[in-house]
Amino acid sequence: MVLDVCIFLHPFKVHYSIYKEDNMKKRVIATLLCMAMGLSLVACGSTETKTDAPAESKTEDTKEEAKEDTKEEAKEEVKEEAPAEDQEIHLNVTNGEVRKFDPQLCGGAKDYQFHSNLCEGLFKYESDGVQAGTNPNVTGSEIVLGQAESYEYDEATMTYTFHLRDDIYWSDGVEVTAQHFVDAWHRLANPENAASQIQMFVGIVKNARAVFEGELPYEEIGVKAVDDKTLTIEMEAECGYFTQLLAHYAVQPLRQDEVDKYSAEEYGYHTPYITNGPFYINELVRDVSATMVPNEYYYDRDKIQVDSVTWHVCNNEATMLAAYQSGEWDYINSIPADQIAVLEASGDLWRAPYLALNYMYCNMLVTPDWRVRAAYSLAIDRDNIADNIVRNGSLASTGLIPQGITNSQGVEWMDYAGDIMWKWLSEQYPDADLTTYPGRVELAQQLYNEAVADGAADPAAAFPYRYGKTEQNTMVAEAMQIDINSALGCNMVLEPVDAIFWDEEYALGRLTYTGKYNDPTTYFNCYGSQGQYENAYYKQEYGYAAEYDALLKEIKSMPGGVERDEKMLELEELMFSDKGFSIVPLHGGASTYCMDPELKGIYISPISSQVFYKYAHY
Amino acid sequence: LYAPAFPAHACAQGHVYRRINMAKYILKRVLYAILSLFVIFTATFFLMNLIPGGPFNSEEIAPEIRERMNAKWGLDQPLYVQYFRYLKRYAQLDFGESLVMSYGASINNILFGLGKWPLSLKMGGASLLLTALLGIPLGCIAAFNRGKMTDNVIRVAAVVTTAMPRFVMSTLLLGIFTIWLGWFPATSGLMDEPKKWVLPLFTMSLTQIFSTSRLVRTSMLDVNGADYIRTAKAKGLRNWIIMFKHQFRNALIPVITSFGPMIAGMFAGSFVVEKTFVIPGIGTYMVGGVSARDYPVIMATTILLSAVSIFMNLMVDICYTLADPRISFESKGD
Repeated sequence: MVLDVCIFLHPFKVHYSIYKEDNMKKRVIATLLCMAMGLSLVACGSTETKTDAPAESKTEDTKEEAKEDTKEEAKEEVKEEAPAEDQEIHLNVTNGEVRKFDPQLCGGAKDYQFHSNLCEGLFKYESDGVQAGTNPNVTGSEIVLGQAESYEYDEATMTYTFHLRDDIYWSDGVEVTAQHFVDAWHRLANPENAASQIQMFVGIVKNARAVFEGELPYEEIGVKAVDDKTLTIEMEAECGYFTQLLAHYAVQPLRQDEVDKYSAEEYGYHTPYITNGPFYINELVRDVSATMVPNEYYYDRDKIQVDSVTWHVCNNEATMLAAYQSGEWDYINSIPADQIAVLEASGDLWRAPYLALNYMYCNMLVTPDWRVRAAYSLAIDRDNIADNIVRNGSLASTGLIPQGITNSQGVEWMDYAGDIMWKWLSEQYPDADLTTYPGRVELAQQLYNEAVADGAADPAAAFPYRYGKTEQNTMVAEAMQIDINSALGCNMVLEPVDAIFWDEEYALGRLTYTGKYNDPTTYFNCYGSQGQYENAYYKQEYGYAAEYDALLKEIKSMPGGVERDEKMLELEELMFSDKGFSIVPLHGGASTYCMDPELKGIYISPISSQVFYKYAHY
Repeated sequence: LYAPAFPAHACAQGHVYRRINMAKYILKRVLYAILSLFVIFTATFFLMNLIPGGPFNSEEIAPEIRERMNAKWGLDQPLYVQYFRYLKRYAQLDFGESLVMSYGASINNILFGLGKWPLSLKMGGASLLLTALLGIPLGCIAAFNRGKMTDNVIRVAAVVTTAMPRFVMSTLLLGIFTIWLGWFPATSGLMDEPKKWVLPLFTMSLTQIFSTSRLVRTSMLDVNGADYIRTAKAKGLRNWIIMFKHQFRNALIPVITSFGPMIAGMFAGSFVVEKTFVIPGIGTYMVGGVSARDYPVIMATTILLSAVSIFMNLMVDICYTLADPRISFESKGD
C-alpha cells in the first residue's frame, strides 16, 4: 500500500522510507484530507462571493447548446451585417444573469431591462424628448398608448374597454388579438404558477384578490376579450395609476401556443422568443449572452435603426470595464467605485435618476418601544451617508417616498411632503431643533434615555444590523454604527450576510426597494399587514399597523386628486409617529453608467432603470 | 543505499503477484473513496442547512408563496427526512432539481447534458497540458543553468506568479491584453474561438507552470547527486541519455505527486477565471449555488468535485508505479 498523503505536504523531500510507514494512519489522514477538501470548497465558495460579487451574484443555471442551425443562421446574419457593424449594441446585464424570458412568472426589478424592449403592452414607455440625467444623448420617458389605439372608462360599471391597433403583429407575423392579453392575465393569475406579480393587481382588478387567495378559479379574473380587437378590464377599485400598471411587463400579451410548444424547463430559454414589441430574441446562449433583433412586423419598424442588441452576462466589474474600454461593449452599468471619478473626467460616465429607496427595517419584535426606534432614525446622519459615502448623486431621505415620485399635480413628492419624517416628532417635542443633525441627536438621546429609564432598552445588549455584504453597504453600515453607538451609547453590531434574510432575531435589516410605478402607493403597499415586503413584523397580528392598514385601504378606494394626496401624506406621517418607525429610510437611488458618447437615441425611465433601445443609433 | 534505477529482474519475478495486488489495492481504494464521499455528503448536507437563509428567501417572493414553495420541495420537513431523501437520490446517481438558479431544472441535465461540466473539464485539461508542456521544460532548463541568468529569471517569475492571486493576475492580463493592446476579448463565453482561450488559460496556468518548474528544478538537482547518476557518468553515457533515462524519470516522482491536488484544485479553483472571463462552467455554478442557497446545486457540485479530487489522487498513486517500479502495492505485512 503506497497511498502517501504525507508527500503531498512535503513535495520537495521525498524519502522512500515513508512508503513503509503504517498504512492505517495514512488512510485516516487521507480520508480527513479528502473531507477537508470537499468542505473547503463550500467554504471557499462563500468567501469568494464576499470579495467579488458587487451586489447579489447569482450565476445562472445552465449553458444551452443553442441549436446548431440557429447558431449558423445567426453567424450568417452577422456576416451580412458586417458593413453596418456600428449598428450593433453590446451591453452588460444588470446583476449578471439572463433569466428565463417569461414575463408573467419572473418578477424582479432586473427583468425590466429585457422585457421593456421585447413585448409591448396596452401602454408603453415612449421617449419624452427631454434630457434625463447628465447624458445629452439620453432622454426621459412617458407612458402612452401602445398596442391599444384608444380606450374608454365606464364609471358606472368600473370597466375599461381597450381597442387594439389594427397593425400589430408578433415577430413571426401572427396578428395580436385580445385573447393574447387574456392568456397573459390567466398565466399570471393561475395559482399553479405561483406568480408573485399578481399582487400588484390585488384589490384593483376585479376578483384578483379572490383568485390570489384561491377562492375563485383563475379564469374569473376581470379581464375579458370581447372580440379580436376589444379587451375589457373590470375594476374592483379606482386606481389613479392603473394605466401605468398596464405598461408593466407582467401584463404584456402572451403566445399560449408557444408556451404549449415547449416543456416547462425549455420555455423561456427557447429561440426565437417571439414578441410583439420592437425587438425579439433570436439567439440565446445560457449564462453567456442574449441577442435581440428588430421585429420586422412591428408597426414602428422603420424607426428602428439598430441591427442587434446583445446583452452579456458578467458579474465582474473589472471585466465589464475592460470590455467597455476595449470597445467590445457600448454600455455598462456597474462601475468599480474607484473608477467613477476617472471615467467621469473622460466623459464616459453618466448619471441618471433611479427610483429606489434604501432603508432599514426595525424589527418590531426586538424593538417594541417606539422611542428606541425613533432614536435610531434620529441618530443617523443621512446627509453624510448620501454625500460622502454613497456619492452617486442620490438624495438623503426625508420620508418614506424617494425622489422620482410625483403627486397628482405633478409636483415632486419629496418637495410636497417636506420634512415629513420629523413632523410628528417636532409637534410632540416643540423644543427640539430637528432641522439640524446635532438637534436630532439631542432628541435621540433624550428618547433613548427615557426608554432606558423605563427598562425598554438595554444599552449594554448587542443588537445586530443585518445587511447584504457589498462594499457600499459595508461602508454605510460602518458609518451608521458609529452614528448610532456614539449618539446613544448602545451596542449595535454588524452582521453582513451573503443574501439578506429575515427572521425574528435581527434588530435592524437593510433593503433597497425599487418602486414599480409613479405613485406613492408603490411604497405604501410594501408595508402593513398586507404588505408584500413587511419584514419588520409591523402587522395587526403582532399588535401594530391597525391605523396604517385602515388608512391605506381608504386611499386605495379613492380616485386620484388632491384629497388622495393629503390622505397619503397622513399615512406617511403615521409611519413616523409613535405608531410607526418600523422603517428607517436612508437615501434614494441614482444610477451611474458608462455609455459610448457616440451612441444616441436611447431613452430611459427611472423606474427600475429601464433603458430603451428602440431609437438607438450611432 | 539506493537500488539502481530499474531493477529489471525484480519486476519480472513479481509480475503476476504485482498485478493481483494492484487489483486488490485499487478495489480497496475505491471502497475508501466511496466512504469518503459519504462522509463529505453527510457533512455538506448538514453544513449547508446550517448557513442562514434559504432558497426562497428572496425579497421578490411573497411569504405565502414562499411557504407554498417550501412545502412543494419538502423544505418544511425535518432535516433527517430530507437527508435520507437526498441519500436515496444520490444512490441512484440523481442530483435532483435546482431550486433557485434554474427553478425545477434537472441538475444532471445542466451539468452533463447542457455542457457545464464538459466546459470546465476542457478548460482544466487544457490548463494541465499547458502546465506540463511549459512547466517541466522550464524546470529542466533552470536546473541545467543553475545559478545563471535563465535560472534567476525563472525564479523571479515563479515568486511573482505564486504570490499573485488569480483575480489580480486576471485583471492585470485584462489591462494589458484587452484594454491596452486589444488582442484578446474580455469575455470568453463558451470559448468557441481560439483567441477566447488565451487569457483564461494563462490566468489559470501561470502559477502552476512556474511552481511546477521550481519543483522540477529542485528535484532534478536532488537526483543529480545520486549514486546511479555518478555510475551512469562513470560508464561514460552521454549527457542527454543520463538526463532523460536516469535523472528525469526519477525526478518526475514529486512532480506527479503535485499534479494530483493541482488537478483537483483546477476544477474547484477555476471559479475566479470563470467569473472574470464569463465562462459558464462549474466553478461559478457552485459559488452561485452557495450564495443562492440552492441546496441541490451545492450538494451536486461538492460531491462532483470531491469525487474528481479523490479519483485524481488515486490516479496519481497508480502513476507512481509507472515512474518508479520500486513502489509496490505490497502491504507491510505481506
